Amino acid sequence: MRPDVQAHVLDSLGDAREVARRSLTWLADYQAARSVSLWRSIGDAVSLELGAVLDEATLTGARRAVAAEHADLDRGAPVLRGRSALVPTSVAHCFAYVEDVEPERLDVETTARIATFALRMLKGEERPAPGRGAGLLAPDHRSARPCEGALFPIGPKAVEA
Amino acid sequence: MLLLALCGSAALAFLVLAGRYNENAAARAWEGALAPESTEVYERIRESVEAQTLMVQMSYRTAARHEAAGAEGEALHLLRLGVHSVETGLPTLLHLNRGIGALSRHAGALGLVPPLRRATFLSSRMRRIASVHALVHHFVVTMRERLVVRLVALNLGLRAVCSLLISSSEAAMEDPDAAGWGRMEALSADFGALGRESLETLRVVLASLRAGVLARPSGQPSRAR
Repeated sequence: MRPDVQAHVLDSLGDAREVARRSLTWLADYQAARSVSLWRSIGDAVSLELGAVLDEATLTGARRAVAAEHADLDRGAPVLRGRSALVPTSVAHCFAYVEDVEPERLDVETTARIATFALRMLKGEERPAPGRGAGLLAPDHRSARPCEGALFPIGPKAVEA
Repeated sequence: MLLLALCGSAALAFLVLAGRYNENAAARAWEGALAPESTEVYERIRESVEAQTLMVQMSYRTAARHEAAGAEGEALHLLRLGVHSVETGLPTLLHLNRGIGALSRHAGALGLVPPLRRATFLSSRMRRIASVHALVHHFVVTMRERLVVRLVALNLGLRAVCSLLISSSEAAMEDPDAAGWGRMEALSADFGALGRESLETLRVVLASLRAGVLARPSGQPSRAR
């Protein structure tokens, strides 16, 4: 298929990042969570894939949680600590970090499914065009420092914060 | 007389079964024409469409579950999410169908474009649209005309389903006791079915494009007009 024709079809659905953002926004609204972010862990290193991270404290908390719960997460089980939860997705070594959710409102199956969709959309965006989704994926997965492009605010709670 | 009726019925049944067999065989042949790069495009779009329809379906399904369990506040919260998901999902699917129409102009010949089936849908409005479409489908001759008719039916169905979903949700927010929760769930399921039917249309067009490239002696795509 000609590249311009292919691009036309792809453009008809908007960019992958927007679909991923909509999915995570829906998830945060559904669970009335303060933030939802997608993380990847390879060995002991943890990196942010995409998220609605509000502040540095949330970022640090999420990174620490993924690192600390590594053993449980590797077994494929969701981890709930207080009002925060880590839910493994079906994409290897990736987790959804849901912060400030009421535990009884946390639907693990839905979280895993929506987060998996969002991750798959992102994985399809292998070479983001300059200025459009650039920096979406952490350039170095061994680094725990997220790139600026990975952050975006979502939901009314994000606006309040 | 009885013998004639039996023979007539048997002949009719044979024709229907033979037609269905030939249709399936032709569909399999076109399936093989899908190139790896087309498969990649298709998979990418499929995931995007499924994500959009999943959000709509989950909103209404979970709302109905909460309502049945007596959690009215949660049910209304999910209805609001459902309306928002419909409002963002509808333009995406309409845009996809417009893209399929534009894409089909690049294909020299189109594969089998199937009619919408009434049994695929749950709501009465969508069943009526599918029935009318199936009738019109058999009155048009070329595959290109059938594709246009199918896209028109899909867009009409999407607009009708979304309009009903939004108006029913707004009515339910005003008076939850009088809400038709089952009807809204059926409409959201139809929204998902329409997404799958749009994807099926895209698959046919992508396979047709690939078949057109293979049919050319040089194997090269034609120049843009």
